[in-house]
Amino acid sequence: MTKPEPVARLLRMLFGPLVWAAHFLLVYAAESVFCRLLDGPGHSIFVITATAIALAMVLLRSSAAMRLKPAASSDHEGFLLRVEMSLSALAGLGILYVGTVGALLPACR
Amino acid sequence: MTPIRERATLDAAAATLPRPEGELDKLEAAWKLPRGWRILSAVNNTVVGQFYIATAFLFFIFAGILGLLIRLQLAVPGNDFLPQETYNQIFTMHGTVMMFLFAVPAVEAAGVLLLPQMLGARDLPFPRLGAFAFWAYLIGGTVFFCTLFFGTAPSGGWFMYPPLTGAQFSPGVGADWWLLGIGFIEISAIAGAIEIIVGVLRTRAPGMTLARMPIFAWSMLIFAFMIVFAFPAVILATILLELERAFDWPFFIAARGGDPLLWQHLFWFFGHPEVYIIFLPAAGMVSMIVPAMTGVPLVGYRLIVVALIAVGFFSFGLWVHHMFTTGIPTRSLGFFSAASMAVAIPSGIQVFAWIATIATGRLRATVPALFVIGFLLIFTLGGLTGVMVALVPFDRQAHDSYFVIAHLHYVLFGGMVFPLLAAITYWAPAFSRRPLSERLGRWAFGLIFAGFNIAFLPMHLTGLLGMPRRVYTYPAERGWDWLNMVSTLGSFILAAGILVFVFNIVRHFRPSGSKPAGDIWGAGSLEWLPNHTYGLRSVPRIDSREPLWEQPGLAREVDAGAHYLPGTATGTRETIVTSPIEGEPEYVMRLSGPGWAHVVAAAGTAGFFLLLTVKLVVPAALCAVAAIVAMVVWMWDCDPPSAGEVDIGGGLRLPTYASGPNSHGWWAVAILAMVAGALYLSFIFSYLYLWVVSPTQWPGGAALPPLASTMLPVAALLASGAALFAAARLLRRERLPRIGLAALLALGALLAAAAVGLDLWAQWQAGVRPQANGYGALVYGHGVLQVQIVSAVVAVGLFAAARSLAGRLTAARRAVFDNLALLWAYALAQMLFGLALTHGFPRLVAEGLPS
Repeated sequence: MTKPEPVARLLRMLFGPLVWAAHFLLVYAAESVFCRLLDGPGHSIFVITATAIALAMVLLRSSAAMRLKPAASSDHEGFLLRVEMSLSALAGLGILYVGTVGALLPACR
Repeated sequence: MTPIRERATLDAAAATLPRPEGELDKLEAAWKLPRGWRILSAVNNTVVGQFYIATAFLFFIFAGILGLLIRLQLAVPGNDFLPQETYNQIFTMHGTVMMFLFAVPAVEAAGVLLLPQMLGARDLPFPRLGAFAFWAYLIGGTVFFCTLFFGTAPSGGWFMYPPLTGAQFSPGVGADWWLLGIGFIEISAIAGAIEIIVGVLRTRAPGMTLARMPIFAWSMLIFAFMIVFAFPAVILATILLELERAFDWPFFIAARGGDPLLWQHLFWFFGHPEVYIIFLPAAGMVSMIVPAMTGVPLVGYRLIVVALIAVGFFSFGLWVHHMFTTGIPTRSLGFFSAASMAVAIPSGIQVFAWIATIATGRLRATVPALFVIGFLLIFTLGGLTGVMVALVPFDRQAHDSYFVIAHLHYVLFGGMVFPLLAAITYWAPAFSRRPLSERLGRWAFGLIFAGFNIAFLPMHLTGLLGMPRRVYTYPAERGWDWLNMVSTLGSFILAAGILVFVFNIVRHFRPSGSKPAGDIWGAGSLEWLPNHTYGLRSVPRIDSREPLWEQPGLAREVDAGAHYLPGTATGTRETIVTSPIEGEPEYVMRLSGPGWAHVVAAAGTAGFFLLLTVKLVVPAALCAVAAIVAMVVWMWDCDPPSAGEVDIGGGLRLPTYASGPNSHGWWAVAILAMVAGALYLSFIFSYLYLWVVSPTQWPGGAALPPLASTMLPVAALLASGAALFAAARLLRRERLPRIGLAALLALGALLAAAAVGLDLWAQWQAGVRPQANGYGALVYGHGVLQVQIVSAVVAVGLFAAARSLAGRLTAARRAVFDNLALLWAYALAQMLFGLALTHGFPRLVAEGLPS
């Protein structure tokens, strides 16, 4: 019976890109809110914190996936795990790119 | 339901041979194509797919002719070949038709045509929906294109920026044609996307795990999901702009609390992923062609899958890179510039994987291979200039110049048209009695490759010399004249190449359902097995990514009926539904056959939108009624009762009915709910965006409807949910009270509709008016979205009630109810959230935050 497991499995595979998307949306939307309510530095701290948290989430999930890999029950399970780890690596790079912008460029201008 | 997952055999065939007499005749009878002019009522993916591609190619030629007219006008300075307004209409239609009537439909058509064969399915899961999408596109697209001949075509550019396209500066119907026509065609694209997602995830051959799925199917899966999340943004934008134009609701009028930049955000949230929506399937085609032409498996299959998924995600973080010159804060520009750099990495992975595959094998210099090489060169150059315009300082110089025109043509023509031409040549023998001519193909390639570069390479320079896009003429002393002349000459060489390509098709392509030329390339994927109107005679178990290479006798076995489902198990059209990850058989799905209802529904839907554009309200309403009646007729027989378990060979017995989360219909509704969710999220973005740019428009507590006014709508929504819950409980009974169930369904759906009405009434009573300012427009715009989702619930609810009365909705035959329940639950959640948003947020910002 196809219950939500396959959907949950596919979503797990997409964990890295989903974190990237959430991080991207958050830091972009936050600039408008911070610049309207607070001064620029608040946003810088927010971006750096959000980036650190997002990277930590991706790393933690990747290390969990790496531990699971040797025990992958089938070829396709191993395939999904490897795809997941590669996606996480790319997503981590994307998060780092965006986070670096937050650290280097001025806010609210 | 207990699906039987035991594996029949690994090496031996599933069904015994020889097959019983008459089995093949029954299969052929079930899948028989209508003859003569009745072929228009066919729903087979091979027929609809070929119609679809032919239509898309026809629009490509039409839009290409418009491109030639543009080039003729610009060939010499001070030219008066075309009047300015005509020129504006022509360049608008060139871009619009190429993007909306050619590029997206062409790749969707390729999916419809190829996916079932490639996945080992007999057809896609919703054949009539696919045919409906095609007919809606054909009728809508043709009428839209013909507006050009009456001088009423849109003229505001393919991305239709307000305020130019608002009622003040574009008072005619041109912009309305674009908004209603293109909005409607996008709905048809979404219908196709839903079919592709369910088809790829649920109708693969047994054993075809995600790890063994052809790359083209991966690319189409991601393409379709991107449509699901990207298209709603532009659909919302078109709804809002049309509301502004028709009823003066100022969403995009800055002086009244709107903002024209909101359009740009919504448009490019769709528009940038759109580039990849077009490119990914083309990349998928290349990933299929390269191994066939080199004779070795694709290098880096997994990395290509990773790259496709990553591009799918990253491309949603690029939309502002079309808006670098709009005054957005530096840091925000940096975010999007960084994301634009990031997307180059997965794109690069694919290019290197293709090069590595070519280096590993021995590339045969066939016509498809030549077009692939042309693609690699041209797309890579376009990608590099893409990295250039992703840099904010460079983009500020090049923005809206011919440099951008050159870049986008290198990306889109190189990234999509070259692979498509390669694909047409490559897959023609799978559907035609004879392959296309190699000689003519080489001529076509040579002319197209040379013509393209002669036409578009100089435009980089023209742009850097300062020529802005969209000017209908220019003075001689600017120094742009010789570059423009070269571009014009190149464009005609390119057109000559396309002409040779078309001549090749006309001369050699002879459609054949039973005796195509077949696998002349020695490829390894399933679409090269002997295909008939019913697809494969029998469906093999898949153990590798290139089954034809791994199992040399497979074609013979499959055609002899030695594998699964060698006949028709229920006497009708059917295909095997498999699990989404492992591809294990779960049940046998019965498919719709030919009919006219979906054609009438498509014509009625198109007529409704198009007649509404020219304010012919009564004929438009009649078309809507015709469409609804046709849809009811179409859907009435779509949920046949179970035919029990059937034997599909190899010891596998499968059920013939499924409902709820296991069924293909439920998956389709779940994806439809995602579309609705994406539409609503785009609205929330618009709501918050206009608050950010015009917070003073937001009223304080006193000017809002009293909080108590939300009590009635909330009560109505809760009662609606209770009716749904009660109906679900009632449906479990063996002795079903049909009238009671019908009454619950109808009443529950109408209660949800009442909630929307009550809320809008409260807003009206409080003095909120949609014409007053951006805030008022948003409140009623929100109402429009709620009316739209609740209308769907009411329509399906009444349909389910009618089925209950007719005895077609029972405990065992409940797919319609389960699908409705999912949509209903989503709608209730959206409506409750909507009440919190429209009543809570203004109070929150009035009391808690400075404005």
